[in-house]
Amino acid sequence: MSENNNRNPRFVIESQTGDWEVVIGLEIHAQITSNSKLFSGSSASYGGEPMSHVSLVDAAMPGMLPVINKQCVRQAIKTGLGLKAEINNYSVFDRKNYFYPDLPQGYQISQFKYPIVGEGIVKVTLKDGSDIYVRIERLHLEQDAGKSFHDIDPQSSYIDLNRSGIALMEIVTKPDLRSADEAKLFVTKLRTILRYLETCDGNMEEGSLRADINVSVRKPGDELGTRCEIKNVNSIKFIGMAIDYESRRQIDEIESGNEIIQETRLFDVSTGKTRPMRNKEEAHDYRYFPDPDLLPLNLDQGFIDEILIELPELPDDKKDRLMDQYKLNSYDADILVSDRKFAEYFEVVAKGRDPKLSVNWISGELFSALNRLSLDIDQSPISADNLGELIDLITDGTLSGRLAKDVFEIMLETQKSAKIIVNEQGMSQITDESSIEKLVDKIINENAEKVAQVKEKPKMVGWFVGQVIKESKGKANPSKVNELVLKKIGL
Amino acid sequence: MTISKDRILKIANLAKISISEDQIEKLEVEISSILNWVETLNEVDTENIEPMSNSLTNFLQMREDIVNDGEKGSDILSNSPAEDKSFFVVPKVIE
Amino acid sequence: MIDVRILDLSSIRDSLKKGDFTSKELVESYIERIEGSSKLNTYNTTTFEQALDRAAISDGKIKKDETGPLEGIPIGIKDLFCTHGVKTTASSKILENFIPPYESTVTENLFKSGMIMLGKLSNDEFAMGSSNETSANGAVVNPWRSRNSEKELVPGGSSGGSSAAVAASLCPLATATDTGGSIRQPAAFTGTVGLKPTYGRCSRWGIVAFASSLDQAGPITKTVRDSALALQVMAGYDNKDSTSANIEVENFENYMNSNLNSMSIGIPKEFEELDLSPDIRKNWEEAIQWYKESGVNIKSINLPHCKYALPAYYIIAPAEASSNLARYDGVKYGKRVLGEDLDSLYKRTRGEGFGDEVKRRILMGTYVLSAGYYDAYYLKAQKVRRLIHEDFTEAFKTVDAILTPTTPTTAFGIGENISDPLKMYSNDILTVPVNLAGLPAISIPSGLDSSGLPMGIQLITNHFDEKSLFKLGKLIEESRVNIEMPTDWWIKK
Repeated sequence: MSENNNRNPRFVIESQTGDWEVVIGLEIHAQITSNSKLFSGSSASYGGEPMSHVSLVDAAMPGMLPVINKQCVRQAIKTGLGLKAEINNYSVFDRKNYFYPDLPQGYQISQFKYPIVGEGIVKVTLKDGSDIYVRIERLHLEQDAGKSFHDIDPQSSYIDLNRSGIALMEIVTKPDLRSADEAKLFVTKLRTILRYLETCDGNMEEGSLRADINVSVRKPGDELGTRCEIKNVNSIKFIGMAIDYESRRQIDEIESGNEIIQETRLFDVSTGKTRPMRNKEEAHDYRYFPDPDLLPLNLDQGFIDEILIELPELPDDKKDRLMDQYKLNSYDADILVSDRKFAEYFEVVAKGRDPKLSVNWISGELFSALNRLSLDIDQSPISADNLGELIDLITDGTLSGRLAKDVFEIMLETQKSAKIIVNEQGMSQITDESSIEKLVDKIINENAEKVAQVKEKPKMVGWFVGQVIKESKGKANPSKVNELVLKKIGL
Repeated sequence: MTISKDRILKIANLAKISISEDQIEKLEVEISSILNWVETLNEVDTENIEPMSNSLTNFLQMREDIVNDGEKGSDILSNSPAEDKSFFVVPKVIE
Repeated sequence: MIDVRILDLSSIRDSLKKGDFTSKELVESYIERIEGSSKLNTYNTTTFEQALDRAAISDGKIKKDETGPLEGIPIGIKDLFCTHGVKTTASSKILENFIPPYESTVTENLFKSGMIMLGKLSNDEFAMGSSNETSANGAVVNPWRSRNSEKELVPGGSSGGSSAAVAASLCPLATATDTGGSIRQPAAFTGTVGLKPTYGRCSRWGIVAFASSLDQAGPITKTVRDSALALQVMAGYDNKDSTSANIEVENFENYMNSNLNSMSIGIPKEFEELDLSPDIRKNWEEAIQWYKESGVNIKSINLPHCKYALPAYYIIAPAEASSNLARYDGVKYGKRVLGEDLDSLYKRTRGEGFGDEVKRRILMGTYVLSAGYYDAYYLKAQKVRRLIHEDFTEAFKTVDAILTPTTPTTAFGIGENISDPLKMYSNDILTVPVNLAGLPAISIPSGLDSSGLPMGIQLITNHFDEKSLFKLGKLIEESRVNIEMPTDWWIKK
């Protein structure tokens, strides 16, 4: 793994001069879930009228001072623990100095030399089912900047400070990713972990999760090439597109005899291309130094241990357990652990019931219904208990698969329980032989010429079965019908 | 050490301060002499000495995660040199 | 009109209580004197109307005996403290029209105690200077002049407006701030008492920052007792300042009449080797003698790294300042000078908004933090800072206080040192080590030099041991030759 040059890379791009390997490292900016900002008591909620979540501190008025939010520290530690990383008992806040209109202080409070979290690791399962391990280099706390709007006025940029000072975690990976797909899967996995931990909502449209992508290319076995950094990409799809474009661009540059210039680039959503930033900040000299308004952060082990106890079961562990406890396959388990709530829902449904049947109903009927209704699983009109009851009715033979789907639809609409629906609408399956026999007799009597045909072509028996079930309004048990049709016709 | 004119200009660019031609030479002389003077620190053996950024020896106190501030929009805009629709306004930034 | 020249903070407090005069009469008397003293150029802004309104309220409270500890007493505020609704400029063009919509913690504490603001006092621009000549409002003039001379002298800096105003009886108490000596040096130059409390004692919230790890607010007063009274009100834990110390504020006035018998004072050998004026050296020796005579144990001590304090300070303070002053960018408040684009807006705003000394320090600070120079300058200075801190820690294992002069010379002429930064910086040689170590120190008038200018002696104690400064300081006042007040040569009748 890692930056070590491997002669047989996991993934290559074929080009005119042969195979190329892409090397990718990510810096993920994840907005911490908290009520208030990192260093002020302003609301950290998304949106709002311009300048509606701004304190004197966020606007860097003269003489204003930062005071750190304990919950943000706790969230960073929790995330670190979730990434199986070392927590640094001693960490320091530094100032990163640069001028930008949405950076009111003229510096960003960040952590440079002594981050709160050190090295960790994330397991990512690729599409072929194999696992890779992506190393986390560090995680540190920092402030977000305000937001600049360049499209309100042709001559001016407009600055809103609602976002100014919101807590971010910057999570930095080692250059361990080798393709756009790997990067997308990594970010998806990281987002799942953050959501399990409830330390970041992972809402990329609202900018809660943004990535800076470092991309370089090399011939397999060579040293690392010169990298370019693509700033601030805010969707998983765009991360993939940016990497695909940028790696191809770099290969083309090198193959046409040019060198890669280390630079910062922007991904243009409308063209799908990357371009160098016009505002070069050529002298990127941030002059980091310890923020003299803040003392070092010293975490006692008790504080960390408390968080450790609160740590939920994480996706990897949950997957292992679900596979072990419910004998699920890896594919089904992956679906269930992709969201903590899916797995929770599943475990309620599967309690005392057939796990495979439970997964199938959840990932099939339920997910497509929720998708159709644009609802989250915790807004589902069918509770896990109610779905379980429906499955019980299938298992005890009250409902056929087909009937169960009808009941499911009624449950969606009425939010009633399956039993109530079955009782109210008399939907239970007809299983007693005498009732079915009557129906079978009726169909046979009405279709004498078909009976003759079926004796020639036994495959036609299905037509009779279908007619009987239709006659029963779908309630007749299909296997019983099949059995009786065969018997009556004498096949 | 002496500081070059070129370095002065780079520093001024980082600090976003315009300086005129005649100021540059004056600054070159003044800053060079200050630098020469502060270099007397090189006489001090600081091997294995931890840097000290604050004389306080305690650690950071943390506040609880409570929203108790933040509706200061009108206060903040009250000294603004240019504003529109509750935004600060600056000449167009090209990214 | 009341003759405010003979009054001080504690006598005013007592007189108001006794009903010798009203707060309104007092405020009117100060206003009249301030109006006649425009030559000294101490006040950037006056708030007389507001003061008279406040005085009426205080008089009502005094009648009802519902007073704060310093009810109805006027005060001058250094123009670095943000005051709600009152222009706060840091004596800089870049903040020439800035009106804070908030009140600094220290001024809020003072106003809650009943004090009444007369106005905002000049200072060196952003507190950078030792002569109050870098103020955008022009130099402040020291009320003191040499005997038989009409040469105008500086009041020291950066709290030169504060020191001159107290010395000229334009307020009985002024707030000040001290980053490298900015309270003590101007106090020494004007025959006033200047106290720099322990770093963390007074909240920095709402004070325009110069160098955050060194800045500390304190009072300039006429007497040591007044200093104790003022600190009592200014100090206290503030959860809005992460460097504010959660330490009890004792009743400092109680320590004014303590027995000094069992106390010990250290005299740092290294300071004896400094280039001090002969009068100041002699005055220092006299002060040592006064303590010896009252039973204090005098010891020679070593502060071996203190001679490096000044160069370390002139790396650390500009470095912090270069970052602290980045917020003055013409975007959110203050001056904006338009250019052809955003970059030129920044550069022109800051180029025209800041004065020469501020620009020099920002450039110097930017340089010592920049890539390739950080280790050689900034980090080196931080390491030396630790050694200086350790020197004091060692010293305070054996002594209760350290005694030095406050300044190497008495007040110098306006314009004399302004063109030579290094010469100007050397003013702080005796005061700067205290800031690097975060210690409390006080400058007390200790006599007049041969030309009749005031000299100050500095006492330094351990962290949060301000009470020993007051205990020991009293003796200087009792032992020194009587210091006459400056003649009212500047008063416009």
